[in-house]
Amino acid sequence: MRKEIETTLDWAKKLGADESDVILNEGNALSLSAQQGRIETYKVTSSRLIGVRVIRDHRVGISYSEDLSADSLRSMVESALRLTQAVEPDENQSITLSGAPVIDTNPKTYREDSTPLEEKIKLTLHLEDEIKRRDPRTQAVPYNGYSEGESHSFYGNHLGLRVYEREKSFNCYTSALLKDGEKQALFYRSSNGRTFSELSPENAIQETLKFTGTLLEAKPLPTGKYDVIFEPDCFQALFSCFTGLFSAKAVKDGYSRFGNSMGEAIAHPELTLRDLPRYELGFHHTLTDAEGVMKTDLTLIERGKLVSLYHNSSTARHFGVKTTGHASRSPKGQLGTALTQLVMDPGTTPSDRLASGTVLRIFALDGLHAGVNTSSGAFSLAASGELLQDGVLVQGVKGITLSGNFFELIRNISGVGQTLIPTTGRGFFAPEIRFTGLQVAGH
Amino acid sequence: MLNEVTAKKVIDCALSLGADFADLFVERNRTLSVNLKSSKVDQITDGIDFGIGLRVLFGTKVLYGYTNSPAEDELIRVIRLLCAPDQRTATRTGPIAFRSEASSQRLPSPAAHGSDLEARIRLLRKIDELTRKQSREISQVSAHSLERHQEIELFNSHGLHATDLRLYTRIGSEAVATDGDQKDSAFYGPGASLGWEFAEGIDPAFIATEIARRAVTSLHAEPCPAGTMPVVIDHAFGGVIFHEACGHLLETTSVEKKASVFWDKKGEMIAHPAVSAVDDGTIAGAWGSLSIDDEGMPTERTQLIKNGRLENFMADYVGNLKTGHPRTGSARRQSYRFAPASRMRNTFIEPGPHRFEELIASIDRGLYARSMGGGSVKTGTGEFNFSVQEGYLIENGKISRPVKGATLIGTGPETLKRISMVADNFEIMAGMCGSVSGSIPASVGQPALKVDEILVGGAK
Repeated sequence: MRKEIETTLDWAKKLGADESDVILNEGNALSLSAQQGRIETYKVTSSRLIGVRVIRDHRVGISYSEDLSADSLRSMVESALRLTQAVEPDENQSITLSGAPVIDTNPKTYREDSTPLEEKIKLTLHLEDEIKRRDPRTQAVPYNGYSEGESHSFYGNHLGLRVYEREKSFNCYTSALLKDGEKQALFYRSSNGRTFSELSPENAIQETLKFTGTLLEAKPLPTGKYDVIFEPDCFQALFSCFTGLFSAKAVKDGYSRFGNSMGEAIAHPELTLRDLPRYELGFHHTLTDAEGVMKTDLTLIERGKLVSLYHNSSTARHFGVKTTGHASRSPKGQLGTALTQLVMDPGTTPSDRLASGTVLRIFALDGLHAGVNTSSGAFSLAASGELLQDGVLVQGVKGITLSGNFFELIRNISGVGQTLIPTTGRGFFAPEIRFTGLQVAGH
Repeated sequence: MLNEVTAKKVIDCALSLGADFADLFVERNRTLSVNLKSSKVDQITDGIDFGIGLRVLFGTKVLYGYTNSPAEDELIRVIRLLCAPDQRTATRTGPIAFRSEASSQRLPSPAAHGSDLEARIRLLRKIDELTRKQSREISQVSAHSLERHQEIELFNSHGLHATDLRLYTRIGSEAVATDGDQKDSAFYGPGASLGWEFAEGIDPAFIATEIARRAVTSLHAEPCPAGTMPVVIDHAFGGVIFHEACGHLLETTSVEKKASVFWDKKGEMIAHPAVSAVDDGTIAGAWGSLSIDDEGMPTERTQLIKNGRLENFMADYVGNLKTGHPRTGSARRQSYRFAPASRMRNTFIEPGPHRFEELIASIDRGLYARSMGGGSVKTGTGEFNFSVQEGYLIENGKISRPVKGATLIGTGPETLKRISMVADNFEIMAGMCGSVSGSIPASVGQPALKVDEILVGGAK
């Protein structure tokens, strides 16, 4: 374990902390992008950040530093202890976990990769070249590139618990800005992997061109209500805006209405939602949470009924339950909660029934950071996609808004597909779901 | 923060490896945040970020790296790593003689060091207390203060050595209103490029009234009708429409890739003649103001559009090299972790001749967007979207019922031509802008505007 962890914990004890824990994150990254057939940017970075949480008389203080010298570590601890004098006591926040060291060397999240730089440069140039070569309507490939990074995370607390986790990831992405007369369209796609060879640049290129081509010919729909199926990345993007409502912290702080809904039907009976930290097909395997608690599977919605919230140790104490191992905390931040890999159970609706009649398939949603109100559940977003009739393309669709309410969305379902589909990032797995009667504003 | 001898050796090293240009961005950033939630001091965080960003250019190819260590051998290691793929015979040689070209005259504010936590807590408690008194439906209040004390030092191979000290203070507050199992919320967050003295000038009663009114109004509002209609977008944060619909498209970051619909439109009419727009980094104390930009150039006031005609783009050093558009002191970045890029500072549409009431009176049926949320744009196509935080229907020339869940979408070029009336009630407002060089403080502003036709998304 890193000596900075031990030094910081020693200082916390010497200077009067009752309890303390430390997170140290280190990372290296490389990124490349291309323009006009040449590498345009080449970025190499390394970073490190340490953060301490101290508790004295039930009061919590947090401080952090990017300087890991002994003097800075001491002054970081002093600062955190000073801040405890100004905050209110928090009887629920306590650092109590001890145990043997946890060293995560899971090959699913970290594998050695010796791909030479030349290969990475070649890939980056290829992502731009292929878009231009395959579609002469390409005006520009404004966003394309390759990135890789590895991170090492160390955790230690005053009770002797030590945790080490690491991960390495690779990513490539491309885009197409197509122009045909006055018509223009822009779309992009990416691919993730745990090694360079796991990347699928061909898939990113094909999907980019397919969706951009559809958007180039797309037009608005008449204003009205439509049945909608979201393409997986879009569904994840929208759904993820509201998953915080299942956090016990959001309930405790009065931001979520689910506090009084335990055991009640909040969604369609075919909807089951689980957080599976070690789901075999997922990208984000994680062993422990930010308090060092071993992560386990958790069901949030079981056949439409809310069966659990997700907790850290503080919210668990508040509600008188056991933590579910969903603590989150960065070196700079306070104790929070976070999910890992969400998986919905497959349903029973055959694909031809899902696609029957008129369906709006959405493959791009914009404005998610602003057009979503997590308190009320309302959302109103710019959207693009395809209008299908019995599975056959009628027209590409853009220049519309899609509006609804999350609490109604998860109830108003007419079919849940039989096959799980991963998102591009493999952090969310769901079957196709047909949502009924969403409001579209168009012409 | 970094001695000149070391900086010189590092830059000389880059030039000796064949680089055309090199610069160093040294940053020490102290952040203090105080959060109050459920009427309790929930969290106080204090910390220091320190790092050095190293940029090397071969032609217009940008090589960028950063490190947390100011040690000479580490900086040279990063430079050698960056230059390795492009290393060539040097075309320029040192030694460089640094000259101080620009530096801030601003003095550190003692308050910026967080010496009086009680003052911060008192203000947040007052906001909390006054907000809860506004309505029995207010079920939760959170308030936070954020202070950032950013010291920067720049060196480049043209001999520039510049320093600056930037202070930022922002007070953010959110109210949640509840009626049965229905909830709604509202946020208000004024900020300035000043020390704690900015917060001392804030009226907590105004913030409390504002967030409580918005949250309770929205809680009981009916869903907004969907369709195309005229819209009056009110002053202050309403300026996000220009920021999204046009501002991002005028940054050379987009223009250099032809990923802006305006890339070849300089000198052309791109907006209604009623529209004149500016990006101004010189407004004293404004949230997006700077003394010098993140490449060391003194900031300036840039006239972007004058009476509908495109006058200028916002350009940084690389943007200038690639497009020929003159630099405007617009190079900005979140921190040493990002290479600089051309970005907005305080961007606004200038006041017009009309009174606000005239805009409303000119509409039979439409939407009055009193306060705006955020939005985003696809610069390549100009397609934008942004949300309405507080909206009302306009019926027969008068403001009528509140509505919620409205989103405005369109394209920049079309919308700019449909702004037909500009009012005289100008104001700017603080926000955060995210783009290629990270999240930066930026103000948006405008007087109230009438857009003749825009697509409004709503749930009804």
